[in-house]
Amino acid sequence: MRWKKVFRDLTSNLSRTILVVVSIAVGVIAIGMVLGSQAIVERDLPRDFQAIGPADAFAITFTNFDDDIVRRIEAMPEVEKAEGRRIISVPFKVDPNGDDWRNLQLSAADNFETMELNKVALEEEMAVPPKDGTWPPPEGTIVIERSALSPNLGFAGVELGDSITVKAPNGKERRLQIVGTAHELNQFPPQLAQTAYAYVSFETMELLSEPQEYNQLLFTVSEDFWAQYEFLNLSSEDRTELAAEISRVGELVQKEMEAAGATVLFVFAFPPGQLPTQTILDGISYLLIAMGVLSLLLSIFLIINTLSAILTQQVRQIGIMKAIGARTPQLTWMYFGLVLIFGMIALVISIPLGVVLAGGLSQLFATILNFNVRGFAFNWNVALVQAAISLIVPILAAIVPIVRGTRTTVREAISEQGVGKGQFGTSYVDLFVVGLKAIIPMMKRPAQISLRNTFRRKGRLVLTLVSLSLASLIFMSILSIQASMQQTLTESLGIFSFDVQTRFSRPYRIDRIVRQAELNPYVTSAESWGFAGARRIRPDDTQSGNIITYAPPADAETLNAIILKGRWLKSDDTNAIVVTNDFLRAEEDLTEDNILGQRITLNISGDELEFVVVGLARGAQPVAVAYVSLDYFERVTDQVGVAQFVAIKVDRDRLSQGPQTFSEQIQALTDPDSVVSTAPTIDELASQLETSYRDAGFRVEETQTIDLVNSILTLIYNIPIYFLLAMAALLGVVGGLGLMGTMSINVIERLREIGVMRAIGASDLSVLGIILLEGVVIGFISWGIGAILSWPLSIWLTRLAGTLLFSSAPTYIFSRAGVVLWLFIVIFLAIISSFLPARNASKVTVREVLSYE
Amino acid sequence: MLGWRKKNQNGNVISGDYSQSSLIDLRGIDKAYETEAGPFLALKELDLKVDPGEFVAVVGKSGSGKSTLINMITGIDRPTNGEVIVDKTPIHLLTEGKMAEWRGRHMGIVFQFFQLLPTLTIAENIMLPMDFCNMYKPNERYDRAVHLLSLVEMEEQANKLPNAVSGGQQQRAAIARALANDPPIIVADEPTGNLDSNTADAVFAMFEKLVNEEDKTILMVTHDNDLANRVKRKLTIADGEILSDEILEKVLA
Repeated sequence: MRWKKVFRDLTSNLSRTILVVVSIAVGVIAIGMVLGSQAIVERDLPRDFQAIGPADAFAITFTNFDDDIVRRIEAMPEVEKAEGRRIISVPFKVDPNGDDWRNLQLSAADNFETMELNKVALEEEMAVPPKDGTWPPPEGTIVIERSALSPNLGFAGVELGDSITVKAPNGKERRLQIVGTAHELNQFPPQLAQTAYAYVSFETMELLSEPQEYNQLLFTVSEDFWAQYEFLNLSSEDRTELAAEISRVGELVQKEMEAAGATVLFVFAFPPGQLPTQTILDGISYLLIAMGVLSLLLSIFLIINTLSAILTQQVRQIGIMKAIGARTPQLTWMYFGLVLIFGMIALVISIPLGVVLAGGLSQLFATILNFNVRGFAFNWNVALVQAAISLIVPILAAIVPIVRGTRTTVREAISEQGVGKGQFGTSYVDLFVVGLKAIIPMMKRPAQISLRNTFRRKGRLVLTLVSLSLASLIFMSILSIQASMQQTLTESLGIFSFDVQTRFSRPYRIDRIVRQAELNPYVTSAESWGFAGARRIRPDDTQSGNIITYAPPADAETLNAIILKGRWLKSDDTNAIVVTNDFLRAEEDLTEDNILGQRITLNISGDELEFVVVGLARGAQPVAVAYVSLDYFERVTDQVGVAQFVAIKVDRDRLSQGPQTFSEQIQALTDPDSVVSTAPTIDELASQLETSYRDAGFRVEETQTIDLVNSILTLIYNIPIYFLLAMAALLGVVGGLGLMGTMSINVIERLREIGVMRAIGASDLSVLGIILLEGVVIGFISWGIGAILSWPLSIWLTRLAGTLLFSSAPTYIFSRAGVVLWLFIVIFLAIISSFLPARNASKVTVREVLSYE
Repeated sequence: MLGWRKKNQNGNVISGDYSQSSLIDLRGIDKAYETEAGPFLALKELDLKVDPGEFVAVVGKSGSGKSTLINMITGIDRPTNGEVIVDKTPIHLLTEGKMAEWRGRHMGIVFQFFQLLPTLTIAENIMLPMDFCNMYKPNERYDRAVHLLSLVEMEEQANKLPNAVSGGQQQRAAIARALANDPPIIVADEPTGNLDSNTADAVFAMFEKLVNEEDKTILMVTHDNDLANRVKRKLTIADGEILSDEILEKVLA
């Protein structure tokens, strides 16, 4: 019979049962989603990655090379396999008459079907494929990487069978038909790189006047090399060390290639088994785990809160059962049974929901990182963790309230009468709240009731505030971090005081490069910089990773370095060098404190040159950069009067800004003729400059605007920000649920008081207002706590993120907009969460209320 | 509301002219509750008239229907059949929201367990009905609360929270709250049930004073026959019907 009571308790107050079950389920679903999605990613991603035959390293060359060199490298005992590719960057546009040029990276290989390294797989072909087949793409056709086929990369409205216009490096334009899509896992996601990838045959390369030769060599190191190592669970540090070992093989490969006549720009080694997007993936995984653990913790608060309240309501019944003979252990087991049933119902809901959400989340990962998800997965381990949480956590959370409730004596239990549950008026907090009336004399009585009711159940208030304040804290901190990162990035990119940069595939005379740029009426000045890939030869004879070395002219107008220590280059400097803080990151023996005056040796194009560090500058991109004087650079690299890089300044005031407001954008889309400005936008100007270089016979590697560099970097930095914001949103939902639970319980506890208020004249609206205002007061307090704490937290996190991303303390900005925005969000959330309990309160009749117990 | 036409729940047009009705006028009240054992009639075709200035005690055993009767008069419950006209208003036709506001202006209720709001001071509890019903100017409300508290000899406790005073003092404050909007009718449900006999006497004396000096009409449910015998009129309820309606002349004398 007593279990009948337990089941009746479950069904008699369905909304209460739903509230408890949802409280438990929120955390369990979140854990299921996070662990489940990780299980799917771990199941599908490594398998996809191994299937492509990942190369251990690749070498980019200045000069072209042929199969003889590939075979020579493959014959090296340290190398297992080697393959050549030709990769060129070209502009493309969809509309043959339009002027919307975008970036496209074209890859050509001997045979896409038989390649063994970094394999590319055909994904989709036309309904009626070309007679020579789709793969490898026949002459005059092109296959696009599947994730690149998107409007924001320039492929709006494009379908298989359509053609695009590609501008060859020599300036000639060709129409190429898109005959299929392919999947290449080993590319940095096109959306992040803002470059589309595509595949062509060498015949098509020839159509674009490119030689049938390679400019990139992929290779794997030999089995013998790997035999030296025992692979257990590789940590990311282990992988980085192994990458350094592969780099050693890379140096040998570089020497061998150069001995065979090829000039190697640099060799990149990858940590084994690591995707190009590994850092992003790891970062997101850590964030998700943090999110899961946090939501579980908050869900525990929620469970404690709800169960305590339910047991408080049961005290009278406990007294009655004791009066008719129930013993404390019997009652204790009854209530633990009730809690267990709550947990079981939550589990039954959470497992399928967790599986569905895990599928959705892994699909999101798959879209960002461009891999395939093979459907939903039910994972026993994840389900077991969910079961443990949903059954054990509520039991643990219920111990204190159950023991306290069942120990109540009969006399205490049945003596509770009238209004007044929740002590008020004895603590300093209460006296302060009562005293607020003197500070805010205009505050009306109903508002005073709301304010004072907030502080009646202080334990419950604290538990509710924890989750809401955490959501507030994280949201406001994140917006401050984002603002700081954006500011730091803008400042960092500010060192490049030019608007467009162009890199050429071989050196040209500086006066020709500059003259060609200055032919454009919008260009105010152009400066050529020396540019080379370099490696540091460390004291222990190992070599560093690639260091981008710029040699700007003395008193360069296009560079505005931020010197953190020491000084900038002078015109009479010879072997002076200024390094960025990104350079220091990879060099353990060099620190900010000892860097000045250090003699460092760089390997530039095979020559070992010694430099003296005279300054430390802030880096702009997360890659190692060094600056040397142009005169010295020209002499030592034997490139006097020639350069491969030009920095161009334009008159931005005269450029069209493009449609700025929403209505202007709509107008530009619906009626392009209405745009009267004939001035180009910065992107159009960059495209004009590139065309003019190509038309004049320059071989252009790439043209980029600084705005594009800024937006790419912002996008990359923003990915973790978006996940953190999703975390804050989840916490907001959990917090809102907590608030809804608290308000529901408060309303149930105070039904009698509400009845009294109705009896003395309170209208529906008054009662609704009193309850809503109490919810808003709680939301407001959580906002205050979050806002105060977000200041130190965001300073600390910004420093941490800045040290990771910029290798130096970034500029800190406290986002006031974030604080105001969250105030609106949290008040909205509080109103939504309190509305249902408030509405219920305003609908009960006085008779129901006064007979309620 | 002196004359009106309206359809009742059965769709029949009912109308009334209540300009001649008593202060409290119950006409043919039935009240049935659905129970598992079938419908239970708590009040049966009950008629009652109470005029201004009367002090009426309602007595009866548990389950006799006396609380149901009081709930009809206060509008807390509605009749299954019949009409409840209080101060010339057919209150059984008002919505819950309208009822609350009407009750706040026309009726003061005193409960057995005082039911003061614990987060408001004594004075604030008394000002609350004025706030809800927008009675008296805001800057006059505190003075009125203190004045009402002086009537029940509680002005010293005005700024204390309810849990800082005794049960008897809380009940006096509850009476002061019932007077907040100067309603013509006070309804008290077992007002002395939770008080010792001395305090109960004091509270009763206060009610007598309100009838005699403030011209209030009071209906009081009580179990205490001694108290019931001290009022002007005593209604005895049994099985949902008025068993006796006695005018106790000796009190008047």
